[in-house]
Amino acid sequence: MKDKKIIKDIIALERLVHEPSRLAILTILSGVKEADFAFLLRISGLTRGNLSVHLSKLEEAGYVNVNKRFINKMPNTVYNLTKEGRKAFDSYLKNMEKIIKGKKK
Amino acid sequence: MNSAKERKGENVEDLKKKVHKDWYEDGMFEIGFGMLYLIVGLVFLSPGMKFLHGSRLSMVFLRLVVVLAIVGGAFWLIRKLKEKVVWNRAGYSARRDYNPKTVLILSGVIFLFFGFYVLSFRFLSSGISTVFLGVMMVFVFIAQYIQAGKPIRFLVFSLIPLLVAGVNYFLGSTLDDGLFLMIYILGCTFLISGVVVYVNFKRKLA
Repeated sequence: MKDKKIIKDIIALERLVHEPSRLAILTILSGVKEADFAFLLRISGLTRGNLSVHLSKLEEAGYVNVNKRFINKMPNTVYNLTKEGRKAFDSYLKNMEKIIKGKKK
Repeated sequence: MNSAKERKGENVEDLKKKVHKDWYEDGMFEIGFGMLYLIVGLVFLSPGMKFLHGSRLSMVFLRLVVVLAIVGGAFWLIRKLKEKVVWNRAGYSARRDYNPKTVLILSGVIFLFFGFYVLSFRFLSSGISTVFLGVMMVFVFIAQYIQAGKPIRFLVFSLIPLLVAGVNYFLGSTLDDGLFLMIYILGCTFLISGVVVYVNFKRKLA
């Protein structure tokens, strides 16, 4: 019975958030109001291409908001977590905690 | 710059802490506050402010205005410094807004501290009053040390007000002398520390 519940919790984990690079991006964005590409690149340690692909996937899912602007005539792309993104991230962490706690018991 | 490989083993909490701590790792926080402390010191010492020295109460209120100006102005200055010096190389990030409950608690604590300060100003000798101010500032710096993710230099800063207040007490100087000395030493220490931290940060980026 308990094992079945753990399996149910594992299945409930969202794949989009579960991927380590995307989880890292969501974690970084959850700690700031907004951040640009260079900041995400430095903190996450991902390559430019990798980061770009994962950000596009998160944007497509509606988890990340993209805002393009100019700072001192230089283009600057800023990302922030949407409400849905924060909800998905929080519920992922909750589910994960449940699984770990269930396994420890 | 740390690679994804180096990040292995870092959990969500570690990464959250790293993001939070990063805001303090370019030295702009110290440079901003250091500059403001020195400016405030100059304002206090300028002859234009001498007319306020007649009334102790007006000096207390002037100090309240100055404290609020430091807190408000420092964050504006730090943001400007980061915009000009850091963001083009290290990337831009904006801190999350404090929730209203935290703002309310912080404001309450500031006013409580200031209330105690005013009381000490009226009822205690100037030497003890400076020591009292030093102790209050130690609490502020320790809170900042915890908030910034426990960088050891913030703990060192917290000792300065207490040391200056102690020296001031034993020398028997006035409260104003003690306060000015505290502000100048803090300003210089913050500025030097900020520059050293920035140089290290720049080296890490290269």
